[in-house]
Amino acid sequence: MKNRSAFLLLLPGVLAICLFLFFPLLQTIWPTLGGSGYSHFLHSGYNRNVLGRTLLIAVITTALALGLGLPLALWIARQKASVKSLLSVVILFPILTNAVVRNFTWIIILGKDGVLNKVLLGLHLTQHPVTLLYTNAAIVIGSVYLFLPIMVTSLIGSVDELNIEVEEAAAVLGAKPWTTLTKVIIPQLTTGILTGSILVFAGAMTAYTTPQLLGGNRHLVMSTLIYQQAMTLGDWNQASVVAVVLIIMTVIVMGLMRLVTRWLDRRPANA
Amino acid sequence: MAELEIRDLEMSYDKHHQILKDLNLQIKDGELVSILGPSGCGKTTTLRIIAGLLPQTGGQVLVDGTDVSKLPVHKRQFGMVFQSYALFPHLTVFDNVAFGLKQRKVAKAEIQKQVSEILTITGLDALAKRFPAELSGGQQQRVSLARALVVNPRLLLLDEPLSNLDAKLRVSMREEIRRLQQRLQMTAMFVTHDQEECFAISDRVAVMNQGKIEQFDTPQNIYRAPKTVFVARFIGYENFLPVTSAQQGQYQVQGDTFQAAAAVPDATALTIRPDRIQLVTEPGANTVGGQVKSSTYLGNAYRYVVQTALGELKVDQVGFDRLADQTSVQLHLPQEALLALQA
Repeated sequence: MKNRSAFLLLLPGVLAICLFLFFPLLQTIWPTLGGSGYSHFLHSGYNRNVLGRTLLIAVITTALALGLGLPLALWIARQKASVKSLLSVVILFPILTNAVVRNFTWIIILGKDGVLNKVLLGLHLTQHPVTLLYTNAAIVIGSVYLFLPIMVTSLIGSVDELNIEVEEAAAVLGAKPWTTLTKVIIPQLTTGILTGSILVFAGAMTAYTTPQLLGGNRHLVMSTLIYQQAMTLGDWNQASVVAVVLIIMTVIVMGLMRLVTRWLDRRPANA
Repeated sequence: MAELEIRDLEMSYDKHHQILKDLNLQIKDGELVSILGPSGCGKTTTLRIIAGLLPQTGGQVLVDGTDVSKLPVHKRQFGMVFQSYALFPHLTVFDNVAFGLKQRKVAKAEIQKQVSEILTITGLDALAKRFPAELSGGQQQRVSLARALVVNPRLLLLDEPLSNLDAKLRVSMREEIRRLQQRLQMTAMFVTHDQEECFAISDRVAVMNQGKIEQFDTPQNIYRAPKTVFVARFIGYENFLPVTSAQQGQYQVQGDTFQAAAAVPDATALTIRPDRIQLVTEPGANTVGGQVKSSTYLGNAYRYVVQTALGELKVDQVGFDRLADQTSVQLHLPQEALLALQA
């Protein structure tokens, strides 16, 4: 009796998920089945290019966010409590600003007459303005800026769980600081690294505003391609195909990440 | 193995607060020395400075006569057992123990041999493939010990290694530590706040209080003849008589004169174990009168609290019938059992 009424509490959530997640998802997938949508998509060199670019940008973004985020997270997590809570808020700042405003900032920095080019020209490091805006690099820069806080936040959670005596034990046993980092600290952070990487990767794979504003029309990614197919070309079926391919690719890569972490950290999961 | 000498060690985290003051200590080759003291006395700080995990603000740490103060932790070649065990959670028992040897670039076959050997000695051979989270506290501590011992450290440091174990395991683990330390002839330093534990396994004990070593001697001497009020109190003495003046083994305690075992010119208190106080019928030298205030049956004796002119005294008496409360008694404090203490 008690259990049954407790189950009722789950009902709103379950209904909401069915109504707003599974139903639209099925509605997206359903029309793409049967037709020639997928073979059409994969036969187009242009589409394969977009898919490749999307994957590449997401992978590079994830790798950079991890590379920049790990030292940052280690440093922040080991500050005293007051400094740590302040830094944890500061690090979240990019998420708190509006996506359009954030990307306009990068347009100002990266543009032909932008801040960065002015500095490079002023220092005579280059004779002509460098094309930075509307490139894959611009999308990566914007994405890293956007997703770094997510990576750092999930890593801080993992770093907090480390017992500092374990690192001291490694040092006493003769491990140089670099060995302690690579052989003792990082292997213990696999959960945080996986969580952060999945969040950043999924985010970078599906982001719309950043590639739209910083990539321009010639550097489409899957999400901007969906928009183009649906809104510009009015081909809703093909837009659905792109969307489903995007979901499948994201799931595959996340599965691979999980496998790699499993391989790196062979501890029994429920010990 | 090696000899350790600590010379004028000083430590303070900020300028105002001295954690350690002019600490001096010598540990002979193959000796197990304990630092005993209450929490916050600086004993763990001392151990961490020796290990190289903390930089001291003054003084030297010498191993076989060479100052290692400037040597980074990973070059000191010590072994350390932590209170939290500090095992590598992502490595198996075998790999945990092999870690130090790998850092020393020992050949693979040799690692295999040495690790297997130490796992057998510590009774862990059946657990080699397990992960730390799959072990009990006692097993984890054993791994931690094996990991520290396998590298044949110049000095073995143990930071309250038994305090997270239950009482029964503590006794068997401490015997195990002693056995291994003796067998491998290792110079060791053991930090604890548990007097019994420390007396049971140490060659010598340094009793520490507020960053200073109050007494450094064998367990027997410390127990028989504590030097200061702090040491006496810490190892379980309960009767303290404040001394107002001291002269050649004669001590004034609130107008009465007592003779104690030794002449301590700057004595501030006298102490005596409850079981050394004798009940006598006549007043005399080193004797004080009082009234029984309460009594407790201890099994092997009665414990009386006697109110005297000098304050309350605890007295243990074997083989008498229980004295009723308010009984007037004469307490004789034998000279040889009455110890004079410094502040």
